[in-house]
Amino acid sequence: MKIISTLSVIGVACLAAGALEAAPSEADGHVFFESRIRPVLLKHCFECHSAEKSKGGLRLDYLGGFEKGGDSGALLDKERPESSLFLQTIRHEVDDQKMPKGEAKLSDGVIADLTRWIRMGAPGLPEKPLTATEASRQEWSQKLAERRTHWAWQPVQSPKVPEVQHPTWATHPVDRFLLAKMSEKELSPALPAQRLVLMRRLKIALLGLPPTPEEMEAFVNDTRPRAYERLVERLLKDPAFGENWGAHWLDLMRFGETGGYVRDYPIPEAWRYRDYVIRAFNQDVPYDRFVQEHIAGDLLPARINQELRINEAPIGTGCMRLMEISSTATDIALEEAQMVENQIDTLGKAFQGLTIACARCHDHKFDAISTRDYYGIFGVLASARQSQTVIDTQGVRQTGVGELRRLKGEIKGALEKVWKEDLGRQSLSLNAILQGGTAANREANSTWAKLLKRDKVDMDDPAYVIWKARRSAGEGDWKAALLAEEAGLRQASLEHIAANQAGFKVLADFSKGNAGWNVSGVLPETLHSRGSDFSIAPSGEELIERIVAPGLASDRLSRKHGAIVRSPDFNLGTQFVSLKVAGGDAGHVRLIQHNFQQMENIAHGKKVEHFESRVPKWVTVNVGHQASWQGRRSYLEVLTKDDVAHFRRSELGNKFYKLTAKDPTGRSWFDVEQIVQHESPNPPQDELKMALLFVPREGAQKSGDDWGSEWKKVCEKAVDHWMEDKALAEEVSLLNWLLSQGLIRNRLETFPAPLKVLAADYRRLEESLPKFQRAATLVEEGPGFDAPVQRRGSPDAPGEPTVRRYLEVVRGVNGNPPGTSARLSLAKDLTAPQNPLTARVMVNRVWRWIFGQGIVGTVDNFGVMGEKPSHPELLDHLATYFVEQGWSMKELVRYLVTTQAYQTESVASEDAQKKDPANRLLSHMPLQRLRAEAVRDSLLAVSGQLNPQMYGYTGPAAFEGGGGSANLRRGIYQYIKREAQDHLMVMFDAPEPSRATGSRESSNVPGQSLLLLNNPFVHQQAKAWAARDLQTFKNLALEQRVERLFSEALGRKPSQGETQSLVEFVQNQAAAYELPYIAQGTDPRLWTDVCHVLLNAKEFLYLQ
Amino acid sequence: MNPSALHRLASQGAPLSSRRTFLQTMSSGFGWLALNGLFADRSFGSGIQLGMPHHPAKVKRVVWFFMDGGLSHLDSFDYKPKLNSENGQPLKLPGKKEDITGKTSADILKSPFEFRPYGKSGKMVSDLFPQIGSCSDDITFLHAVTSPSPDHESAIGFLHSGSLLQGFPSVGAWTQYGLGSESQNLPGFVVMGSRKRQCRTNGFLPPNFQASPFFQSGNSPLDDLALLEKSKLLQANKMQTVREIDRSFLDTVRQNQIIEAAIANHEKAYVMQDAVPEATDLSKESAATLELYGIGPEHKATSDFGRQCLSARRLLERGVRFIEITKGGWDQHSDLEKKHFENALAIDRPIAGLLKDLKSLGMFEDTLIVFASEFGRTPNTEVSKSPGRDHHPWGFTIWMAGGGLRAGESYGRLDDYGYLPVEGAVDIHDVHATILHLLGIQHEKLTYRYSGRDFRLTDVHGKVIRNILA
Repeated sequence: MKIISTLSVIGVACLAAGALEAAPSEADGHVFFESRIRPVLLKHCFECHSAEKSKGGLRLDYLGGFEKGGDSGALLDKERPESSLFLQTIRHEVDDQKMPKGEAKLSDGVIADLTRWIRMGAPGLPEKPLTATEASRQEWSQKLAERRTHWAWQPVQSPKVPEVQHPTWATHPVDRFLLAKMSEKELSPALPAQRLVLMRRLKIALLGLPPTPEEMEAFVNDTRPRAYERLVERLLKDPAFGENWGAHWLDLMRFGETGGYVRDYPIPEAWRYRDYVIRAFNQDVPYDRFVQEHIAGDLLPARINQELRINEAPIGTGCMRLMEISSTATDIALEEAQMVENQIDTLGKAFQGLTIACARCHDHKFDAISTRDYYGIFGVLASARQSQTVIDTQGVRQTGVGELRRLKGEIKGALEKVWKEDLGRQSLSLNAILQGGTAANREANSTWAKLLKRDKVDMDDPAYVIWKARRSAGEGDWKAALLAEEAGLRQASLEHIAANQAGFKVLADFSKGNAGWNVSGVLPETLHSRGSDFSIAPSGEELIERIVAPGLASDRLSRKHGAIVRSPDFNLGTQFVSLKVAGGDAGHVRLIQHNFQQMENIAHGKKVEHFESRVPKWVTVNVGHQASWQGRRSYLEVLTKDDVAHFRRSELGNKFYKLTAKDPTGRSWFDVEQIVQHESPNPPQDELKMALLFVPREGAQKSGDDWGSEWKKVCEKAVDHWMEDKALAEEVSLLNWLLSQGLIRNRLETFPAPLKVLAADYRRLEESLPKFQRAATLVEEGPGFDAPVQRRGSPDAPGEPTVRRYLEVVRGVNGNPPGTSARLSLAKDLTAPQNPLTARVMVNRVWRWIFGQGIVGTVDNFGVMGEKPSHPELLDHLATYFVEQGWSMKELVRYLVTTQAYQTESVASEDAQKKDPANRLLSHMPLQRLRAEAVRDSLLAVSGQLNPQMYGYTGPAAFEGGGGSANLRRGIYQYIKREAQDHLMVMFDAPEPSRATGSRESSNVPGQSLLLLNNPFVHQQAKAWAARDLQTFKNLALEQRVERLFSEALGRKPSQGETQSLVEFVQNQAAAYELPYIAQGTDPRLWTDVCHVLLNAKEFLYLQ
Repeated sequence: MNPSALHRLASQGAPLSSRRTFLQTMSSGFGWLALNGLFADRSFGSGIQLGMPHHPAKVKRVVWFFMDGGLSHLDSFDYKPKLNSENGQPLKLPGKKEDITGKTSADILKSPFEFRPYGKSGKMVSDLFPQIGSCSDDITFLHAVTSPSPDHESAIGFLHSGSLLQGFPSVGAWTQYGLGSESQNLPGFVVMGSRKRQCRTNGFLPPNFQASPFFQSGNSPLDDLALLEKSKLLQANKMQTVREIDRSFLDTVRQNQIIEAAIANHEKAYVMQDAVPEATDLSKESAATLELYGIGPEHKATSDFGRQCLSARRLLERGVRFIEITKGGWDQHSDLEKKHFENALAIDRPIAGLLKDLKSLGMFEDTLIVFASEFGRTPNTEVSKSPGRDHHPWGFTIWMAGGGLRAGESYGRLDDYGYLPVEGAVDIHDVHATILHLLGIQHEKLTYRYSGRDFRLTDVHGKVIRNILA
């Protein structure tokens, strides 16, 4: 037996070799190796004999290794290939070397292949040993080739709709697919459901609300054809549709409005994402566009909502901002790794039904997802920054801008005149003092007198030169005294300049422009003033806030125009950063590292500094102790109050964030001129250029007599330069100094009437500007970076950088061309025609939300470890239909609820129980429990307490005290505080918002019954409901009242027995309350109790 | 659920999905154990027979004391005399880690508390815990525990779930998932003293494995327990009518199992209204017992915590599987002497009381008591008017007591400064593995299929700490 088989193997091998020799080609050998040999080596040999391990000194992963062999000598015998040691060992001809070790002998077929391959000269193997990286790539490409054969990776087909024979099930394609499968098992579908059952099922599925008795009556009485279809149309148009379906979607986006953990800070503007989702479902935004907006809405063409005058697109990226964030993290690189893991997990599960995040530490154990794939996506997401984005349309942002500019121009002209008058007057005053005598006495209380009387004046004071000259010269030679000052001042100035150059690295000088930094906000294009500008205070006695030097100022027209100035990424190498900056109303600077927004931690040093100065001065940020900042990927941002993407302690104030500016219109401002980095704690020194303006040049004619006019000349020149928009920085400082000293006018009351009018007009217009709206988004600033693989998922063990891209199995390994956005490309890869998952996964979700279980049962996992589709052709039919219908979610819903399958009763026949107990073939509608939101909303709808207000901010301030009408809005508007989720919602299985949930649990526990029995909220609804109905049914008999309440709660008329039970109950309760008979009909307690009983009925919680 | 319904379900060969739903119905500690047989078919995908111990269990239940904030091992159970002799000198230690807050001085801080020997073992325990010290012959100390994170939030998560990521089940939920509860009328997993999600979360396990928070607000031990009706009769009448209406619904849906289970739970809830208050009613406890736990007007410092401990004992007696009792406020970056003392005062006597009480009731042998903080504190100090210590996850103490342990022993040792492990280092996964082991569960086999893979409490780590097992 054995001899025969061996012989026949050799025979086959010879034949094969012979055949090959007839047409020898390198390519053939290679193909043979890849298809027949490499899988064998991979499976049986490489584990012990390759780069990782080379047992017995042997490596089989390159040709040289084969030739050289291991401790037992060469493996190949070129003269007599059949006698090669390699083949002897696998033929088990050598004692103690029966390979593969610890496994069964290879099959004869495999041995034949290997023999043939050796005879061919072992083609296909690399000549030289591969590096570990090359080896792992090669190993991966082999795995990928196998894994991509999984069903979910195959292109979506458009299968033929089966022909079936049935009076009602032969029309709708979906029914035909379902019925065909049932027929295979000789199952028949259940009977159609009763109309009222169907109505409750449909309304709760589409809107999450129970039908009213009036609706029920109208539907039952609608005897025209297509009554059901009309009902479907009406419900699809109802705005409550978006509220109900939006809630499904929010589960997938693990939507929460706080960061979780101990401090549980609110995420600013999280609610806007919720509203965006509701609107998207109501407007039926095509799903492919919807998905793209989630990844890269900020980079897509705007999607303008004309009614709200906002751009919807960037709000989608809010989904990447809604995860939990530690508030006490000390290792922010690890924190970033965890944050991005959560983003990838959400992206993978929600859009693709893939567990991509499993590949964080190693290639996916089962699916076609490598660690390089994971870090390819990691780089895409980590390259994005977290930011608030203004969503108002350009039209809204430009409100009043032209008019404000015009007014400002006129004001400027009027000021020039006023200020020149002032300067003339002040120069006379100065001269009078300097000349002494009676004139001096007359001016004894003037501003100049005070300025010159000071005991000490710093060198950077514009009056320093005059003050000092007067001190040293007394009544003596002014010219000499002034010239004597010059040397000292110039010397000091040069020293300061030298010191500044030596000790400070300029990060940005904004006098010429944005200096390569990113500028955003309401009117980013207007932020930079090339020349000098001025800023008008929105209120108060003084008109001018300050004269603005060349730089970036957010308040050139209004403090409502918030702005953000952000640096490119850099590696922070010093402990201090200083900014020449002015600002107020919580304008501030933050140092962000690894995209970590939570900056309150003492462990990270003080990385936030607030501006509280009218004129620019140096503000120093001390980033704290070394370990936390050294070598970290960092950026700086200077921004106004509402533009901060920080987790705010509360909306009202914060001990680290001085958001005490309570201006409800959101005014806040900054003005930044320069940013430097340094090691020593002090900021740069003043270079004394303002004081030097007053130093006479050599040879100039100067005397005490004409000093006043000299002073005036310098100041007038500053005013002229300001008018011409070309004032030097020191001239701007001078003007601000003049304003602050009152040497030129700023108080409104002192202005001539026309200027007063202009000022009032300006302020009125500024006041009327809208409060601009921001959303929590991602933004793309700068080229981004390729993230290194983190070995074993640890940021402390970086490997080689990975190209930013989506999964290899979908789009190959190439990166994106330079200058294009990897994130935008990823968004498009998700919805590209060659991506077989996106449409399949979504139609399966919609199916799950309608029919209670997915065609693929594991709705979030289409991978190898997920379930296989029960109806693969139907799944593809739906995916094709969905795309053909322009990815319309409403059309898909309409398509599914108009099937006969959806309209059957929810009772399993005995046959069905036996043949298909899990109802995978959908011979009847499964019984479903209401979702948490529907339980809550039904309670409120039935009681008449539901507050139907849609959209808007709902917390936490709206919930202070835990009550109020906000609490009576629909469940989707309940504020989701991660550490204190709503009790009722949790009890009825609202998921913990940590990770994507596509299929909520439907638990069934005593706690739910306890809640319905004893929770005050439920009792309140019973009471309110009874009180309302008592008014309307005063004249009804007991039975009729009971019937009315019953149908309101449960959507059908009670049976006789049920009515009887309730009537008896009323009587029993009356007895228990010891009511006289006469009071029975009117005592609200009785009807409250009836209502409470009905809310406790199981039928209230379940949908047939 | 009555046995006949169970029988029917089993004999019909009900599908896994509906059987699973049905089991979830029952899983919150209500008759879970009775359903063991149904799990024999690996319906949870992981291959173990849930509810059936893998090996004979040493203990049936767990009390988990969680010291939130970071109790200092150096000022409580890990005596390091070198801190006294080198007080104020810079801590010089190879392998010393980067300081966490950057505010820590290098200087050693001696413990402000005296240590004394206790029991036959002569265990040195500080004056913070004289009562627990007096029980030290019944306690097993792990002195070289490590955790990966110096941040409260991740470390608390890790201590409870074995993961730094959010969304993973806590050890109590795992225990509940593995074993269910023995009580028909009480939840199987209870937390007291904290609503922190990390303590009570079911993570990706079904929601019925989440802890029931006891004593959170008002007078009712559990939410929604107190009747709002003026009399029991008024509610009983309601119950009767709900039953009648539900019965007719059940007929309509032809005895659908989900509805059957919901009806059964409604009845269960009705019973719980009495069972839970009874279980937590301390009025029938003897004066001696109250004294043992430090409860009463003369025990201002200990009464609250004592009540939780005594209630815990009563819940354990009634079959509750896992009780977590939290004491917060241990994060003493400054003011260590005063705050650690106040915190310890509140819990020392009640915890010792529980240990003694369980012994006298014969329950000690099949109960496991665990006392843990998310991390310890540094030997070097943070400078302040009244000094404190920084977070220290690289080596700290957890102790256990109860059945199956080598009582009165200490395992593992840190260096002379209490900084890094020198021998017997264990991590949180090992502690979890050991707890599960004592409960009769092999930690590698308690798995749950979630998002395509089998997860377990110990991830891919964890070794049972054999050296402390009896």
